[in-house]
Amino acid sequence: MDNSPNQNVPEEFEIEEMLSHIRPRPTSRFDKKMRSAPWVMPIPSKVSHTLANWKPARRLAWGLIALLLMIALFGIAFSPSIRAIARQFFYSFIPAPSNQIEVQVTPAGPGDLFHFSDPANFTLSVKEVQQQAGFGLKEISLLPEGLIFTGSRFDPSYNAVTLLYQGNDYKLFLTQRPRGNSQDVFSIGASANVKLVKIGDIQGEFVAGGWKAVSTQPASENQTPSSMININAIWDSDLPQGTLRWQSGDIVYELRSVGEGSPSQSALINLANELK
Amino acid sequence: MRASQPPLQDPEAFSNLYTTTQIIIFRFIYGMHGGPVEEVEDLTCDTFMRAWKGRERFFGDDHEALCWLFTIARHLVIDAHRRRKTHPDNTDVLLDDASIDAIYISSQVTPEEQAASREQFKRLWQVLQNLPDDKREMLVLRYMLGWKVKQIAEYLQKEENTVSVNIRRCLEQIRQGWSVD
Repeated sequence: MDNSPNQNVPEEFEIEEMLSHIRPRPTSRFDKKMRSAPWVMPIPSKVSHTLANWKPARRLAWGLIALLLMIALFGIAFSPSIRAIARQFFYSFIPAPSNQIEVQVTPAGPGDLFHFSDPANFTLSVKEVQQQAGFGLKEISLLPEGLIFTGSRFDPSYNAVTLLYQGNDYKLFLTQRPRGNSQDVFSIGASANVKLVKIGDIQGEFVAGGWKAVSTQPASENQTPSSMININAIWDSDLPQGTLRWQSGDIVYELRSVGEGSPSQSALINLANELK
Repeated sequence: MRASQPPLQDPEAFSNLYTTTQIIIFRFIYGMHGGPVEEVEDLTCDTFMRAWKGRERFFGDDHEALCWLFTIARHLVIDAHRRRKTHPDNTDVLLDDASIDAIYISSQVTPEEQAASREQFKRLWQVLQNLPDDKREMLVLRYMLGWKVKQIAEYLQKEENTVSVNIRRCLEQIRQGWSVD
């Protein structure tokens, strides 16, 4: 029998390695298709009816949670008081003056904020994102069972790379950025309990909870897709969300889990110890 | 004892399920079906639509919901394969370089290494798609989704050792099929 295509037959471990590197991702076509799925929730606010005919309205609903994550990340951009405090720190969590904040956003842009947590926007491999970012990246070298790497993205405005991992019922965001960015703070509620933790020999901080949107209102009566929207958010320490921040060399790392199945503080630290 | 209300009846609960499992289901279908990506996306969409329609009949926790989605997806993939057999012109899944690069993370650096890596992947994909559905499913769960053997055993309701042995046999079968035209 002539086994004509006889390429070099790989060893079992090579086949295993190849299989482990198959990481398909849906295209934007899929994302568009699923936006009209019957389970997509309308915006839970009094402006939802007014916004119902907006094309970005569904995106807005999808992205509110993501936006609040970004508020936490870049609180300094919205609050002068936080900005003042932040000058004293390189990478700490910065408590807001209270457990409530109000921010103004424009739904139509910066559009990427609204899709921050959407897996379809994490389209790059680690190699590709590293080329864009221009600094050395780490990834979780040993993934626990059920956790898979989804993809990564680069946000040039913050010079930050985020790798997204998907667990069975939670998402894990690993963000890395060079130290020195003046917006490099993470705002938290006044009552948030920040714990000092050790990641290997490095001092880090852990906080449980996050900002939760309680209402959205248009900033003015005349609404257009570019109108500003006021979002009121409260800090909720019971949200299934945990964030770990630390600095190693000139890079600031943040590991954030979101979702009911979020790992515990110690599990998150274990993951941080697996970064290579 | 059953909960009084199906846990996925509420759109928000279903939306959470969709958000947390869509990439897992997509990859599962990709591995089971073989592509192209548009067909996999359509099957993923159909899987969730079917689950949505049948959500009032589902009672279980998050893990059971994922297994339920796998079951729906598997049936849809089998149906799709049957349709392919009815239309043999569509049997071959085209794998151009761009398609491969979109799903396969290669660690190779030089263009020559990358080309060789793509050829290897093409062969692997062909052989994988020729495996029986149940064997392919084990490999997809183990490697594409990163499940532990214990998890797969629980899901398939088999002994851990049986799953482990079967996976080794599948890998060997891939090796044997590698050089066979």
